[in-house]
Amino acid sequence: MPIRTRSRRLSRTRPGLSLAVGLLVLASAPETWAGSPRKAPLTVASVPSGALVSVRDTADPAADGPRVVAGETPLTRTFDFGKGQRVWLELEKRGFQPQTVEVTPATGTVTVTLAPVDAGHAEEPAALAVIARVAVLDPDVSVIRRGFSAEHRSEEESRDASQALGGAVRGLARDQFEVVALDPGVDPAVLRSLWRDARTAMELLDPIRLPYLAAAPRLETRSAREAVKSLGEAAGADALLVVDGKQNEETGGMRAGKVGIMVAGTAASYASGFSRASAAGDSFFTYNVYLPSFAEGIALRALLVHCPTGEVLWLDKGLWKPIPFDRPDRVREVTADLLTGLKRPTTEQETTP
Amino acid sequence: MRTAAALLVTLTVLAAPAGAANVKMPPAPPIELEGATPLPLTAGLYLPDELRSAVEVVKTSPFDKLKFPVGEFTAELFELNLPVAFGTVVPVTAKVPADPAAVEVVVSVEVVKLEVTIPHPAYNPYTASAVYRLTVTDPAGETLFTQTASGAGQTSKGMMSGFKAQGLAAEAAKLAMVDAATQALEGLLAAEELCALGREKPGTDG
Repeated sequence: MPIRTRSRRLSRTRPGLSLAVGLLVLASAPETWAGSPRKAPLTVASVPSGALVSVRDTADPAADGPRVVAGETPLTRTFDFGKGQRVWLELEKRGFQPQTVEVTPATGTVTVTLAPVDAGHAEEPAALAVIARVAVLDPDVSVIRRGFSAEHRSEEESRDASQALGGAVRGLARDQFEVVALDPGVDPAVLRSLWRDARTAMELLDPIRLPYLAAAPRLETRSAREAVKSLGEAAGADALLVVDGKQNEETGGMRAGKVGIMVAGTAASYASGFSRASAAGDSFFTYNVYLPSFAEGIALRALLVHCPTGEVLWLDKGLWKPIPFDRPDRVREVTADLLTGLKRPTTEQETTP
Repeated sequence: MRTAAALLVTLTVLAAPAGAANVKMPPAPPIELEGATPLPLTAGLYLPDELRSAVEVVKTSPFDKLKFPVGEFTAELFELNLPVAFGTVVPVTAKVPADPAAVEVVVSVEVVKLEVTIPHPAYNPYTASAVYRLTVTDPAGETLFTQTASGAGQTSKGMMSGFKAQGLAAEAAKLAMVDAATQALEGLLAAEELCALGREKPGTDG
């Protein structure tokens, strides 16, 4: 009886299966029928070389949308030109105007001559100073405790996290720079101006593209630039290192709730499968095993600002597993990863990324 | 053949509810800046139609998306709160007003970015980030000051989140936009360019 039933069901579903397969074939057909391949090798060169190449699906450099960094010129790669059989390459280099060129699978080789930015917009000498002394602003880290039915910012844990991270950042910065202390009695209004523009820079700037932007970005407002300048002058620092972050942690209640629900789901699936198999006289059955996922981790951002000019010299940001802030080794490990790439930005490094 | 037809009907029925759901944003809240004194200036608030009609669409699955009325909320937020930064605020319909004597500065608002993350599974945090750019011009259209300000928001009801996912996404977006607007208003109050303009005004101290 069960065999017959199964056999009948299969024959009934065959037209449906055929239709589904047909739809899949149709969905993939344009690619198959297009004749020309979507992928092709392309050599990209620039004059001067050392420009960052980003692949975009629009000619508008200001448009939002995906951007894939292909590398630095000269380069030869296999590019995916998509269904449209064309993409746009944006080339960027510090001191030069960015340029966008359209390429197709038939292009083969493209050489772009970059025009220098106007003298009036050229890099100012102050931005080329070698950074020797760095001050570290106390990091601003929020720890969010996520419970079974609500979440909140833990003030105590946030304070501890900020202190632990500040210690690690200062310790690691000493490997590269002379770290100087900031005046503890800084006017909070000065700090607010600085944080406001620093956070916006952290949000909008891309760490990979930063060294290639035509001109070095600066903190946007005069109040922020004057804040970083006055802090630098008071501490005798060339640059200020700013770090912020947010850590999500799940409470025991949340974890227990997730595990409980997944166990209950798995048990229900098992019982249902067993019951169906028993009724049908089958000797085997399948069931789902539900596994809980935990949404924990820390997002960190770091920014180095040139004190006299407010110029953004370096930026990094990323996501890590949650840090136990009572374990200095783990704090240092993540901080070291965040600060990877923070080297003394000299004239040479700034202008020739 | 009957099965194929049934399959087509099923696919159609499944696809029918797919599409964009309009997210209902909570009302824009008042922003309080402790100890802040509005600048003694008359500001025109310019919110162009493109801004008011701006919508952020977030794809939540291959079939579903949420539409956030970011422009409508932004307009409401700044209409309510720009008086925190300026003594008098009047709406204007152009960046260069027809009557230049009616205002001393014009504030234009631009939504640079709104990103909302709808988590999967639903019990993970709902997060959003927003960036506003405020441009302050004189009545002739010359730029006096710009402030780009970012904000972030996160909310969740833990394991209960799935029952109110759309509301939580709206709340996260609201928190981010209010945070960004708060930063932007603080920036206006701290702007030496605007403070100087207020001091130069006849009848003000300084």
